[in-house]
Amino acid sequence: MLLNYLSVRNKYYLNGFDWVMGVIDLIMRKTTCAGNASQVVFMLDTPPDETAFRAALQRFLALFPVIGGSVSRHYTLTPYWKMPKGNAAPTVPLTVTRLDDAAGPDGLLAAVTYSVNTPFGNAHEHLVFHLVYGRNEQCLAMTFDHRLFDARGAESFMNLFQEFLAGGEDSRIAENVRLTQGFDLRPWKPKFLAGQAVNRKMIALSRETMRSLPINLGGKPGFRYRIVSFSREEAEGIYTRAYAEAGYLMIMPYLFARVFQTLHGVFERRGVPHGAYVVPVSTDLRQAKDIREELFFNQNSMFFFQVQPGDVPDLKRLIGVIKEQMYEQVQSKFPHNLMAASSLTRIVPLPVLRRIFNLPLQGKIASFCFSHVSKCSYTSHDLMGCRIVNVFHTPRMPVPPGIGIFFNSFDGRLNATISWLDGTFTDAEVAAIESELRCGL
Amino acid sequence: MTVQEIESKLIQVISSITNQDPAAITPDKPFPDLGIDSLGFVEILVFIEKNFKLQLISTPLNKQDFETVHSLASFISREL
Repeated sequence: MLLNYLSVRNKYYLNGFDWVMGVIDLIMRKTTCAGNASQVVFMLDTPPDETAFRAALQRFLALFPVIGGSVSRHYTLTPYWKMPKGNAAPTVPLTVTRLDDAAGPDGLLAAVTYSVNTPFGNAHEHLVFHLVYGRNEQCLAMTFDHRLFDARGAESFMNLFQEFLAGGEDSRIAENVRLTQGFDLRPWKPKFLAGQAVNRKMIALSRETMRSLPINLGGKPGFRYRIVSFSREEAEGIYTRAYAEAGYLMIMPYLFARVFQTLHGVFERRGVPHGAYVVPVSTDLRQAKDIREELFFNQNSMFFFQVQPGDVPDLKRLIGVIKEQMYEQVQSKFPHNLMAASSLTRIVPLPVLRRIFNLPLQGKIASFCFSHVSKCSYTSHDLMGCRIVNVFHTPRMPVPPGIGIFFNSFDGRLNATISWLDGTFTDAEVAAIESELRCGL
Repeated sequence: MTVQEIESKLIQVISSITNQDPAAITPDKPFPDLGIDSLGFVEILVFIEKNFKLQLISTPLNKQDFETVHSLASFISREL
């Protein structure tokens, strides 16, 4: 207990899921052009003042030296986030891009695609801001290291920035941010029992061949994106159809089923050999009333869905399979077990864990990824005095599979981001996916 | 068990799912306004099976029966 108490006073020990994010980061740095990063993009109605933004950002970021930290190991071998010496203010780059007429209609998306595919400068850089000024539209993007934030944490961090801009006192803004966390090594028995349950699930998933698309990792490719945005009215229509097809509030199973059907079409047209689909879906495990207590690092876990290709074409049947598996995993507390079990992996060095990761599923981690952030944690409609038109994410999906669909909503709007490692889909396939999502939802 | 007693049990579980004070959860507030999404809703359904022995995930989950704590408590009361 004494050891735990001492550690809690001055260190943030990473949880198992942080360590998993670290492995994915290593895999992605080895195989693609950058690590396990993501980006949240705020589309603005007017161009923000660059000088004012730069000054405000610098003041705000100085409140969070944690941003300039790095992963280290305690003598117990538990990994922790090492704060910078003297809690120095982090150095966070801000890039400014001004698009000319030659950039074309997709110039802004190309600019944010380039920024999320650019690796961080060094081991202490985990955040980069980008201002992109187009001819008719502009945005602020924040590229973040997934070892520092999960998607909701990143949105909440920007929300905190807005509170700061709105006149929040410096000392109060960072007041409840939790920057210490214990070893979480004990009690060990529930963790082993959780590990047993997770192991059983993974073995069950690996019994059948997994359907996956080939990935070409030659030349360390980057990610590409297509954003499918739905207006408030369109989103309302989608929710109404979701309630009718899947039941009240069953938006996630409905969206997931429709995505399944869309991607199934690609797999079928490619003639991918038979087997079952395996899809991880992230879920938020936050417990605190104040998001600031769980702002940094990863507070997520996963569901794993296994679906037979024969169940995909019939929407009712597919929704039933998804709901049943979701129910079973909530009932058995699978996401919590996975989080508890993953804490046992922290003793393993990342390069070794990278190899272990590949064992149960022979290097095929999933068929594709799916995510649905139901409510945006950024609550304001303004940023730096500019009205926010939309907020979407451009995540670099784990590789493999290097493909995924990420849903988020903002102010009643719904966005689907199609994310794929360059070369995994053809342009015609992406156009078909976009069209099916737009018409099929 | 009365509808009020069921409501009280549901409010407790919603309070733990959404990290809200139980006093802030009124029986007539729609679930989305309480911050309940698909996952939270499934957690409520798991709670209902455990406490009331009703498995509802494979039922149509009609909006009128599942919109608020009150409508859900009334539905459970009828089914018991």
